[in-house]
Amino acid sequence: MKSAVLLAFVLGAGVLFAAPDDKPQVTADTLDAYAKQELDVSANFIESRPLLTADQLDEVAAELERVGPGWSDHHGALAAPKRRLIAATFALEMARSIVMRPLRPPDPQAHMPLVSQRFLAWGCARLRDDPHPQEAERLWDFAAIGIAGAPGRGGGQRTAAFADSLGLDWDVYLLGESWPQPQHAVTAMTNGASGRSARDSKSELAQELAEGHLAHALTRFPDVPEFQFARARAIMEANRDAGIVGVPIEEQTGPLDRIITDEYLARLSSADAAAGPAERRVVSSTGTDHDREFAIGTQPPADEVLRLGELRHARATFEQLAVPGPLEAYAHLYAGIIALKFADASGALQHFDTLERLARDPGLHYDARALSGVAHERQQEWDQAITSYRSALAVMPHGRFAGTRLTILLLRLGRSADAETFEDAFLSDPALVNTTTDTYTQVVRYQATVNADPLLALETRVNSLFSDAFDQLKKAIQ
Amino acid sequence: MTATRRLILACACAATVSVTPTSAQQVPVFSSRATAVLVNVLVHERNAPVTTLASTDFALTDNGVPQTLEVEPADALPCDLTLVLDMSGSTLTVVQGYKDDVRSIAKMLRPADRVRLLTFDTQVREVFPFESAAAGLQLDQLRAGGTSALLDGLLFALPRTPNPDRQHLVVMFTDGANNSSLVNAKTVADAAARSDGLLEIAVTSKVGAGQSSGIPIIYSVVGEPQPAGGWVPILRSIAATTGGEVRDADKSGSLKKTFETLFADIRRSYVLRFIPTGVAGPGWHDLVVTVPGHPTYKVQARRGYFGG
Repeated sequence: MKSAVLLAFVLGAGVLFAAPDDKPQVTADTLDAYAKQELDVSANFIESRPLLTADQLDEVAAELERVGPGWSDHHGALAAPKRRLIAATFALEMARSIVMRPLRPPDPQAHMPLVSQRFLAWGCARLRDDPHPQEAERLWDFAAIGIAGAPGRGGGQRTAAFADSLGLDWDVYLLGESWPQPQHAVTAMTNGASGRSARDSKSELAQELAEGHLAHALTRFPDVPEFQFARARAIMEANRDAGIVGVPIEEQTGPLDRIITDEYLARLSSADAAAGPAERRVVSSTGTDHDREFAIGTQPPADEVLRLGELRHARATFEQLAVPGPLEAYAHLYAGIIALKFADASGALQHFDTLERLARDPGLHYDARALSGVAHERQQEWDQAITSYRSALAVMPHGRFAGTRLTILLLRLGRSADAETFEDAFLSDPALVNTTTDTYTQVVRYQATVNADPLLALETRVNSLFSDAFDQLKKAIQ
Repeated sequence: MTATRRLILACACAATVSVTPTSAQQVPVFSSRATAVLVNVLVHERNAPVTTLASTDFALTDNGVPQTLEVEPADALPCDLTLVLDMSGSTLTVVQGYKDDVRSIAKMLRPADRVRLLTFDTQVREVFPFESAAAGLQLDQLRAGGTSALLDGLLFALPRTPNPDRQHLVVMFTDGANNSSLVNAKTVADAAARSDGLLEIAVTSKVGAGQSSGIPIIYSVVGEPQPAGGWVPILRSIAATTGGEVRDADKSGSLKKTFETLFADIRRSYVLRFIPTGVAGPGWHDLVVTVPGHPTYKVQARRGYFGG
């Protein structure tokens, strides 16, 4: 299981759109307002009620599920498709607003992400009521993917927090099948909430979770490269810890592996437990995912084979998509990263070299160079690796990924003096941004742009490809 | 790997130990210094430091091969102190106190000693590089906020230009929260094994051992997940790699008081020196230090080193 997360939200106050009994509700009037181009109504609904719990928001979703169909059909069959689109878009924006809520301390309402997905599931089902996919639906799916994957790890982690509470395995929502017991999840959520949810809505959410939103999008639009890309990316995310030695990509690289694996951990494994080095206790002390990281190759073989198979599929997709177009650079980057996972350093370098030529975004240059450093480490090309990290830092002087990798590489090479010299410059630059991050969005943006963790930065930037869909979608419902 | 690189220093700072009567201001000149391995050793009997041991009391094996030792009191060498402060959001209310404490800690050092200050929150910063403890410390940049990149902070604290004439002591103050590090514990453990520093970690409960003093900073946005038992057992193992340990900070939350106790303990330690003999140079070397005549003594020393 990947990162479990404790999310925290800042409390606030204020209530708008309150029903007479002060129970927040989505009413036909709310949808009417949205249809009249009061497009902030959904965002305001959430933002003005920062104290709303997941249970309360679940009730809001239930209310939309009750009110929405009648509202959509109210003006007859001809108007229904567009009104369904409007209602679905309203649901989409509710989902986005929930995802983007400020953080607050560890929340017993850990199923908040499922509330967001409940809105998405309902909107998705409404659009699929139309047997003929429309362009607007494609835009809607784009935006939905932006929401589902956009908080990037946040979405996944929030989902993970909920899954943790149920003892479920988890992956990303987009892939659906990663929820082994979606009905269990939905039942747990709705039991914890109002208990008034309609059976159909539960089924829709369960179906969405079981099948994954991308399955729906790809069924309706099988040839859209962005959806293929998103699926490959989601597969990759779902298999973050898969690889030739079953450890994160950061640790599959460089001299560390060879030294640690061949000399260090190998010795630890045969050492006397009582007198063994401290690292042995590191291995044995946690009993958690940390052990897996230390204990190389502990993934059950069958599971590992499946994961590698999925990664191969994702890599093939990225390589197919690495053709001229808006996805080309990103496809090369992801293909290169998976190549690294398969210890294909030379293949990875080819992708990163191509990316270096294609990219116009400095962030992608940084990614290409920093990850080239990793590939060079794999090939024991230490000087090239150092050069790559330094060239990455020339693009992003405070790129923490490149900075930490360069530091540990220098240290492993015995160049402690160089490491200290580098650190003095890297860590003491007064231009270092000092942020006080109090929302998840701020954290992600900070990590993505300042720390320049390539993987995280990528998620943010790739998601921007989908975020434009919102603006286009709003035009479509005018 | 060069001879210099083979020099592994296990740190300690100024001390008064009865083994060799060396003035705190005198710097001993070891023979074959460039090829020597130094190991800092703390010896306790029922939690009380043992300060009366002689060279002949110690035994050390390198990959199982007994070595010939020279033993010095820890105050024989001047100290390079790296202070690492957790300045994440949970410390917002104690920033001024930390500034005062850092100045007080610097005053405990000798003129020949040096100190540098690293902080970590979401980012790792070097507030000032190694400089004389007597210098006026610039602490204006010290501020709190953000998440806790604890492991990243540790990684950056460990490298130091090898200097056989000085010892490297790394002291970290943290509440034990780690939620935004890019590196993982394995990487830091590896760095610790390669470092010449003695790592001591003081875990402060004053600001909540991972909880916050009203500041919502408990979420992991990158890096590995928090182990079920928290990070302290991991930190303990990493510190032990260097011969150091994790301690509870003073209940008052004062860094100064915590350091005072910790420093006094380390000042009563020993520095063992040997030139590896009868063992292959490259790769990891297991070190085992004992006091054969006193099997009940608790002996604390680095667990090994990387030879070149």
